[in-house]
Amino acid sequence: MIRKTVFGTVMAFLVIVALTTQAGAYLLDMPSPAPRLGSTVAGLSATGGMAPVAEHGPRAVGVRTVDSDEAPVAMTLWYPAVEPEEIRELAYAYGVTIFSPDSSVAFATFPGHATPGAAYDLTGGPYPLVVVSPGFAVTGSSYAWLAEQVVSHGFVVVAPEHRESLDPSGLWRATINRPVDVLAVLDHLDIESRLGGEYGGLIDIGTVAVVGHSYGGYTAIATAGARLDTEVFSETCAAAYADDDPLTFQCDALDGRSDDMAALSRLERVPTGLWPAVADDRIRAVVSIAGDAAMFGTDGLKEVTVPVMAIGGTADTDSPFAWGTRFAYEHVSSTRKIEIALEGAGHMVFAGGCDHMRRVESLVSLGFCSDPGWDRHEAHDIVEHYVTTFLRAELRADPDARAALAPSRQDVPEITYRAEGF
Amino acid sequence: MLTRTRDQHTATKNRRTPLKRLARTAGLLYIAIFILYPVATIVRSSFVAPGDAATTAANIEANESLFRMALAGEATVFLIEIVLAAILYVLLRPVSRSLSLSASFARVAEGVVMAAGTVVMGAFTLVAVSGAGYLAAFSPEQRDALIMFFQDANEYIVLIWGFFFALSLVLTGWLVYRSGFFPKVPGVLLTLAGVGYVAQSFGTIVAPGAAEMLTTLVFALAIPGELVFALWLVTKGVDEEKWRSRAATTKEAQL
Repeated sequence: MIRKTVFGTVMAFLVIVALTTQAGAYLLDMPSPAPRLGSTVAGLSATGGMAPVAEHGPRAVGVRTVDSDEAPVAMTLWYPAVEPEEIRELAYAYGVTIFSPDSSVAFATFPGHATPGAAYDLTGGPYPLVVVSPGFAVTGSSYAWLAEQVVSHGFVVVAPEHRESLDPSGLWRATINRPVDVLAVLDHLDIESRLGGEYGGLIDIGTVAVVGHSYGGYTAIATAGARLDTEVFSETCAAAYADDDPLTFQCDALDGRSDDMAALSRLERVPTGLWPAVADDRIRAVVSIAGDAAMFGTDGLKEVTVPVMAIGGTADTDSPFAWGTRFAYEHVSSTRKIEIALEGAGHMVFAGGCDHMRRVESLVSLGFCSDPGWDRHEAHDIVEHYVTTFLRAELRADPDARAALAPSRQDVPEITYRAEGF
Repeated sequence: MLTRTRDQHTATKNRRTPLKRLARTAGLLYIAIFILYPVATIVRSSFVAPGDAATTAANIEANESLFRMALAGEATVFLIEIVLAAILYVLLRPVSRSLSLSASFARVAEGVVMAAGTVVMGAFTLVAVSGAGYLAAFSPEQRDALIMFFQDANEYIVLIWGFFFALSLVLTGWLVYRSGFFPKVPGVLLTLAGVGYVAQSFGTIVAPGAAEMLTTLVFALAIPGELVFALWLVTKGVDEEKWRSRAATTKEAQL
């Protein structure tokens, strides 16, 4: 009897494991994109119901990855490239470093049209540099949709890989490390942009913008001069807990870690009031997309004087609109600033493209590829349009772009647009 | 008298043991494949971002040990396939020696193609990520593309071993159905699983747009057939009297 029970239990266990692994392999598999290799790319990918607002620029795009043994931070670089004989579609992974900072799991892939390893087009260079800081534990290539669009208008884009894994308890470390990463990238590119360097004639290192999504938005604002204010943040968190505000997610990860953050910053003690800035005067403009800003407090944000564009979704509960996009817009000292609210949009709609997803993501929403209120292509299209126009206005002093940002010129019904200085 | 009966019973029990043990071993090997192969696939698939060569190469490079373990898992699978092929041949030989041999040959061929595909492509991938000096002839983008090429090629090689596996399943299903010492249901389910693999291999090559639907079809058809047969082998084995009777008949007919 006992033997039969043990045998039955073992068999049941084996069957469950077998079924689980079979189902796991099926659900985690990502169907390969339909083979369209060799097809020539024509313009932007189609959007949902809305007419596309972003116009692709005239320049061909090249892409290359830079390993951590070649630079202080591993990164992906998109740049104006010599026009190839034929533009072939390639796939980018929308990846998240779940288990280890060294490797990512691709939740989806989406098409691009850059040419890997293409020769630099130096005829219009050196080009202003745009640093794209990804969301927490999201890979740089996830933002290729934005990078390619920006580069096509005559910029170089670099996306550093911040060494993180998807564990909110590491957010305090990211708070300190991320701005340092960006400055290290700038210093590296500064050296390599000189005559005879790898990027000589390609990058104008004196004209830089930082664009970031989610914690990348925090990074962008920090590198533009915003200073942490952990005392005020603790008070904000106390109120957030009382009101059950979605900000408590950030509070759980950051509040109470000031000692660790100070130690990582090599400060002797936790500063009273504002923390030292980790900024760089080469940065001329910043874009925060669904970015976090509560940790700066109002005084910390006042330190920002460069032009700011803050974009966010009003239904965002990960980086609440009121504590991120709106908070940044209302408290930076910049004379030129823009706030764009995508009405009803969430947080991850601004992350990577989801054209080909793992089966599990199609069947059970994990939150990486779904947004209840918005079509991802439409959201990306709006972001591409406004970010590119803003960068042209601020880094290239393009009068047409500046005029196009005037509130009176806006006619996209899905957004609420506010601006000062345009 | 009583002693003789007990002796006869013991002798019968002893005679039956190897056949039952053989069936149970086949079932356990089947279940081992059922678990090992998807685990190895999950590990490898988590590194591959279809179409994104740079991400795929970086992931494999950063997780080389895990990638090697997945390869070892896949290598174990095709070794098991060869042993399983031999056992199933013996078990189903009484139904038709020639068809049982064909089913086993098909299964061995499946294992060999799987080895040539999955493991050889994996080995090529490891060479490409090794950083050997002569690889400097490739630019980083070309080397990444080479790694992606090997992983993509493996996706097609899966379809090739699928042909052999399908043939093996269809023949095994037919033999099980006709055997009389196995129930008919696993035979029907195995045949359906085989049809699923044939449809996937031919369909994906001829009409790549239907690949996703065909993969789902195989998932739905293959699991019941193979799992039910494996469980039957482990828990019930074969009806030994019928097996021996059938074996005797076949021997006489030299089928």
